[in-house]
Parts: sequence; C-alpha cells; structure tokens
Amino acid sequence: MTASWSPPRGARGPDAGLETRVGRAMLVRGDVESTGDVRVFGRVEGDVRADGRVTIERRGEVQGTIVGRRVDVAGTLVGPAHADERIEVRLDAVVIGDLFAPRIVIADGARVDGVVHMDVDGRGGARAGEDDDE
Amino acid sequence: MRVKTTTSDDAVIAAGTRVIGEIVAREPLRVAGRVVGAVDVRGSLRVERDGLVRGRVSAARIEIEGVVVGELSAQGAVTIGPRAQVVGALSADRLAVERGAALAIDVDVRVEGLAGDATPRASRVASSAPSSGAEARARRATSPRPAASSVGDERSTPTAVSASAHASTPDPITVTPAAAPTPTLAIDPQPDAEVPPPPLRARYVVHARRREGVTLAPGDDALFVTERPHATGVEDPRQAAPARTRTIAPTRAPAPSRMDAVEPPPEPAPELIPDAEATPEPRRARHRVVERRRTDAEILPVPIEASMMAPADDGDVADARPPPPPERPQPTSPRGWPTAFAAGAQLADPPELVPPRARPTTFAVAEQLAAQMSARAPARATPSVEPASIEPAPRASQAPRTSQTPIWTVRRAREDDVDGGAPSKRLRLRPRKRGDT
Repeated sequence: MTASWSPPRGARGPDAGLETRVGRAMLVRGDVESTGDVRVFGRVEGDVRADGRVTIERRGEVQGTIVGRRVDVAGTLVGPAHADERIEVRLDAVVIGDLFAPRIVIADGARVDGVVHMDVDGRGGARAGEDDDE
Repeated sequence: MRVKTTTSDDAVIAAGTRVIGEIVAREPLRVAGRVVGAVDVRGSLRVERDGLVRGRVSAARIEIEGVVVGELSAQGAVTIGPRAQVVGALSADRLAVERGAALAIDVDVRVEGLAGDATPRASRVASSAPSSGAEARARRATSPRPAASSVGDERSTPTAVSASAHASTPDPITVTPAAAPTPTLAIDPQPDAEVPPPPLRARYVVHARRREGVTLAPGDDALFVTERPHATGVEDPRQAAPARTRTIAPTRAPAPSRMDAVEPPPEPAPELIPDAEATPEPRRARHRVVERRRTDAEILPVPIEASMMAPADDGDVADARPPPPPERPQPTSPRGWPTAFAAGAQLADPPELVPPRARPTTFAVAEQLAAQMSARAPARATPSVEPASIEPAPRASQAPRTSQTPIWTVRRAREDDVDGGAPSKRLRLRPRKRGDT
C-alpha cells in the first residue's frame, strides 16, 4: 500500500527529503504514509507507514501499526511494529504490541508487552497489511 | 506572516507524506505533502507549493502556496500565493490574493456600511447578512457550490471587501471604496422566480485568475477578489447573474513608492552671487557668469572684453562676472544630502541661466576667454588667473575641448540694465545692439 503511492513529481523543493513531524500539540486521526522519515512528537491514532525511519519521541504516542525501515520507540506505542532493519525500544518507552524485525534492541527500563518476532530472512517478519498473526 | 519553520518541534507534513484523516493541531503546521481530511490548526497553517489539502481547513491564519480543495475559514488573514490553487469556499477577515493564483472559491461576505456610497444600498446589503456563522455554514452546505473550472474571467476588476463571515454576531463589515471611481456595491438578488428571496448574505463566486495581485498588510481591512454575485440556489452563477465588477480600494493608504522614499526634494537653482570685486558698483553688475561646474572647482575672476562677446539676438552684450566667493556654502538638501549640483551632476538646463541659443556661442567665447586669459594674465593689474587653476566642468554635450579650457556660460543682462547703466570701465564693456558686428 505504501509502494502504491509516490510523491508528486514536483516534490523536489526545499521540503523534499525532510521528515514529517507530528508536533507535540498535534493529533492525527488517520493513517500517515511517507516516503521519508516520520517523527512523532504528538499523537497519532492510526497507522504509520514510512519507507524511512519511524521515531516515536519521548512524549509521542502512536495507537496503530508502525511499519518502517527502522523503528525507534521512546514514547508509547500501542500496536505492532514492523521494521526492515531494526527496532529499538529506548529507556522509559512503552510498547504494547508485537515487534517484527531482524534486529531488536530493548533498553533497560523499557516496557514491552508483546511478542518479539525476529525473522531470519532479514525482512523483519510480516509487514503490516499482510496476513500475520495480528 | 510566514510560519516559522526552523524549530524542530514544529509540525510538518513533509513532501512525500500523505495523511488520510483528520489533523488537529494547536501549533503551527506546515503542509508540504498531501492531507486528505480536515485540518484544524489553532495557529498558522501554511500549505507549501507542493502541498495539497483536500478537506475543510480551519486555522488562525492560512497561507497557501499549493492546492487547497475545500472550505477554508480563518480567523485572521488568508494569503493565497501566486501559484496557489484554491477551490471551494472561503471565509476570513482578510484575504490577499497574489498574481497568478487560480481561484474557484465561494466567498461569503457581509456588508453593512459603505463609506461614500448611498446609505439605502448599504443597508440593503447589511440586511442580507447572516446572523451567525452556523447559519452561514448551514446555508453553504445546502447551497450548490459553483463549478471550479472557470478560472479565466478577467473582465472584473479588483475588489476590496472586508469579510467576517464567521463572526458569531452580526458585526458590520467595513467596505471602503476607492476615492475614484465610486464603487457600485449593488448586491441585487437574482430576478428569478425559482430563486428564493435574496439570500441572507452576500455571496460572491470568484472565478478569476488574478493578473494584478495585491498583498495586504496586517491590519488592512480589504479583500481583493474578482467576484460574481449570485443568489443562493442558483445552479450556475454565471447564468444566474452577470458578473458585477467592483473596485474598492483597501483602507490602507498607498505606501510611498521607493523613489519617493529615496529621492530628496527638488532643490532650487543655485544662487549666483555677483562678485563685488569685479564690479565695484552694484548697479553695474549687469552680467553674471554662470558656470556648470563641480562645486569643488575654484572659480577665479576672469577679465573679459566686449570684443570677445558674441552678439546676441537682441543686441545685448554678454559679460562675464566672476564666480561666487569661496566661502559660499554648497547647496544641500534639507536632509543634508548633496544636491545634484553639488555632486557635480549635469544640471537640467535652467532656462533662467543659460538660454539654449546662446550656449554654442558662449562656449566659443569661453574658449577665447581662456586663451586670452592665459596670455594677458601676467601683464594685467587684475588678479592673475592661472589657466590651470580653472577646472573645466564635465559637459558631454559640448564641443570637444581641452582639459584646460573652462566652460562659461554668459547670461545676458536685462534690457534696463544695459540701456540705463554705463558699462564697467574695468571690463570695458559696452552694450551691443542688434545688428552690430
């Protein structure tokens, strides 16, 4: 689904390549799809799919599925996370959901309530949208 | 007016990002990607050039450089950039449309007072204003939206309207017309039986591609749109009513141009002071020499003979007078800037000083003066003149000359001075009549 949409041809301006930032005082009720990186300082009630890196900052919260090349969680994630490369759960982070990645780092003090899936083929398990155990 | 985008915590929907859903932000938001859904921003919303928002947009201030399809409501100003495309409805206190923007918007305005216009007309418009923003939105939801394809109407003229369609109270909308011509703000209902009575508000459908954009500054109560009034319920506003053009200027006074701000006020012609040494008797100071020169050029008294004078048309004798004393201050503007004359620029041919017909002749006389001055200076009792000390003035329009040749222009004396006074013995001048050779 992410691959089906591409940025417009004119998206080569100064904002091209910048990451999408969901601000601290911002709420997104819906899905976020990006070809770049996504950083969540606020709250997202929906899925976050990015070709780049998805970061949930310290006070950020995502209630949905996260799919990205790399997923860093420092805030709260309620839902599964799928990463092509790596998932890192930092200090004081809260993850309520399964983790799918070839490499997973869970820091001391982080809280994870889910199942860790480390696929050996490097795909990080089933991507969101595919039929998995969710 | 622009939303600051340097802080890392600012919300940004970057290019290449699509948000399908609602966005509620209590901080400035910048959209460079696509948002399909409602956007409610408490602060400023800026839609970048590649940004697209499809849905209802509400913000304190909206700045559009990209595409917005939907209803826009702003508590403050809405700025539509030159490459922006806006389709839908718009309500704001102020609107700025720049050149090149493509608009297909429905603007709801309420007009109560019109300065300089007839009172009944203004009151009639005011009576059709909505009572609340909810009512306006309800009417907007029930009324058909105009087509968004026609954006080429350029017959209309810019219009300045201050709108506050979302005001909860029936606050008046000030519309200040231009000084001339007086705008015709006649918002007559469409004379159609199918159409209900005049709407409770003045509706304008903007179908225009702006060619002359106007950017309003904060505080300006003006809306520049090209409008086409129609009544609620009409399917095609272009068929319902002809386009009404209004020209209403913004309430802001026109800003001074750049030249007005920089250019100093015109300076008077430099005053010529007669030299008392060369003409001991003031009454005989009939001829004065005016030179186009640099102010730093030192002008020394130059003896002159009548035989050197070129005959004028009326027979007057042109005479030479020394320049003003050296202690004369340079002419400066009230702001202290050097005037064009002081800066050495060419004067614009002051007719009172240099008759155009006498210029070639006087220039030749000046050359002769310089030649004789250099030859006779050691033997004369008058202050000697060093030809090298006279700096020639830069005059590109004159004939070729050497760097040692001063440029003199001789102004003819008045008739009464020449006829009534005796020529200066020192200079040995005598008046010449017409026909003298």
